[in-house]
Amino acid sequence: MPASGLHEYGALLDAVRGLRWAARLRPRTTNVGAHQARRIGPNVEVTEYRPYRQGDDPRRLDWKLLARTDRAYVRLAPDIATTPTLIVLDASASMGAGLGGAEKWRMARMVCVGMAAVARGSGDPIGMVIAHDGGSRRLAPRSRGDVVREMIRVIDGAAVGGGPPLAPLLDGIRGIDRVVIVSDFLGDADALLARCASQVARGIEVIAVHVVARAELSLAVDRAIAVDPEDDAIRRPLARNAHRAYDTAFAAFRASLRNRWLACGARYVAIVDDQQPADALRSLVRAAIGSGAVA
Amino acid sequence: MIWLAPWALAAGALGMLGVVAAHLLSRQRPRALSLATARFLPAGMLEATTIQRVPMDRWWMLLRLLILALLALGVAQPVRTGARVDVRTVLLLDRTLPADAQRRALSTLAPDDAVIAFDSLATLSAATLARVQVTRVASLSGALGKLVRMRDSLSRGARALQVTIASRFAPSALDAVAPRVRALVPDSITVSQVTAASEPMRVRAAPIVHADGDDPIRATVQLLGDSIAPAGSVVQRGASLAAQDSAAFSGGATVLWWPAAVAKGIPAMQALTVASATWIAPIAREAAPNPTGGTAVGWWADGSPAAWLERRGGGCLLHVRAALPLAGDQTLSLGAQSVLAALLTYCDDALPAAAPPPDWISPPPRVRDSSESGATRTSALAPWLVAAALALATLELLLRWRRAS
Repeated sequence: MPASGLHEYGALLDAVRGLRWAARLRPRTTNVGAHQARRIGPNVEVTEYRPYRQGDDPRRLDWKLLARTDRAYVRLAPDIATTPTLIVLDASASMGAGLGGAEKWRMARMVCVGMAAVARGSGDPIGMVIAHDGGSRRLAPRSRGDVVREMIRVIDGAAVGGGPPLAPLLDGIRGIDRVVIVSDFLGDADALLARCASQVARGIEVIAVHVVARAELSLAVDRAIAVDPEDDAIRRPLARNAHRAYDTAFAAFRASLRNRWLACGARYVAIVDDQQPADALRSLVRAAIGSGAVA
Repeated sequence: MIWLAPWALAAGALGMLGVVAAHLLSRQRPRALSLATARFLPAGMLEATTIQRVPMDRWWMLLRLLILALLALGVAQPVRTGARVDVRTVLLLDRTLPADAQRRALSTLAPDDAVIAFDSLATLSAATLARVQVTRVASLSGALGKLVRMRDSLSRGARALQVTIASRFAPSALDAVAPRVRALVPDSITVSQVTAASEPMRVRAAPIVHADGDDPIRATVQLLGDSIAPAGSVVQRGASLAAQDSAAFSGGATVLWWPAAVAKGIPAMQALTVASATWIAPIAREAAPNPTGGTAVGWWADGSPAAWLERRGGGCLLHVRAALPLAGDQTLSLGAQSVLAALLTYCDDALPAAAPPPDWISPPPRVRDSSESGATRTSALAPWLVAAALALATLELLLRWRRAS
């Protein structure tokens, strides 16, 4: 990994050290981790006993109690498990090209690395999928110590371009309890939303991180032709008298996007590229474990 | 170098200004800017009219200007006027001069000289001679005005201009005019006068007129003066008399027999020419058999004979086939006086007994006016200039096509 990458992310990694990202849904895995699992397992901290029933694991019998009382009881304790997390990073042209594109892509990278570091700090396996012009780059969820470093290397090596769809990347994911989508949702937003809704129905926690450029929120350019970097056919005059209509339409789009993600049971977080990455990450974690959205 | 169609230069200049304006005032697309949220902008016109401070596409503009310039130069038809001459003569030619006088004046010109023609008789309608002097000067003034207007083009290629006036004006009149000319034209122009050759009139005595007291011929003869014809000459109106015929034999005098017929109604205008004199008036042709042994000495404008001459001993008998106009003062005009004087002096030894019709009767000598010289001159450069313009235009189309493809 180049030294410049470490230097760029170093401040962020220091800032988010100690930050915990609790799973909003109990994980289904049995690997011992930091999140309370759905199942009650053979933990050392016994909370209750119940009579043994046929089918229970004999290993969970309290043999000492059986020897003293000749009654078969099973030790019950809340299990703790890891939350395998998959970060889906949108590297389409809209994330990095044109007005405010560089800042938007930088913020998206920061958020990805920060979330990976926070998840790794909780002992969660962390994986990533980057959708770019040439296809996608996938890193399977792992909990090794150098997973964050490897993610940085992959992210820094990714080139922004094209308009790859994100929805197919969610097909066939297994063993994932949490999916974080970092995108501007200007591509296949409808298909992605539908796919995520089905994942939510399967009990997977979905967090939509909407990265918006400040330059997109308040246009400061006129006398130009605005061209969509992903679709050259979309060409609109960028004049001063069009700013009000643009602001209205873009605000309506963001509100609609937020409402639809929340309606399908996902979390929605909107971050602007001029925020401090650490602050954005904290608000993201709060929203992920909180009631819903942070805009 | 002169331009046969100088208006094309002005049109070309206007066109070039238009090209420059079109390159300054261009309808162009603003710069393209990549914006991920472009879809939220309202649709509208992608082009805007902008005024640039400096012309856009300067190489294209220069190419178009070059095409227009070549085209304008080609249409303007430049003509090389040859080597520079020291003195160019501008002949102010009075078209009322006799044809041979005009030829004499024209024969003195070099190829690069110019001619400005004017017609002094067009204003000679005044009845009094006192006013003729004035109108002559005024008529010449028109030609001089034309000379002043054309001075720049006439003096091109010459170090000095020499103005020569060929007119029937008296030298005293020309001397009066000369200072005015010198006042009108620059110092480099010198003025000299060439008067028409005086018409030979051997005056001997006043002719005897056999006519009524109010016959128009009588007044014409009286206007001619007392010593216009050879002594003993007779002007006979009406039938020819044998006594006069014999007088012509014996005395060597001239007997002019002019029929007494008058023109009925308003006849068409005719030109009756005798020697170098021409009379233009509503004269009717009189149909009569040609005298045997006579030779034609007078002519109508179409070349048919109007007067015959018969030699009778030492004298002459002239027959005129013309019916005088009944009313008006046509016979008092200078043309009528000139024709009558020419007839009466035709038997002089200096004149041929039988003259062919003058060359200028059909058609008159063509005097090319400098102002209309472009109608007949051609430019050798013009086709090449136009071809170059068309070639450049084709080149531009090809370049644009290659650029578009």
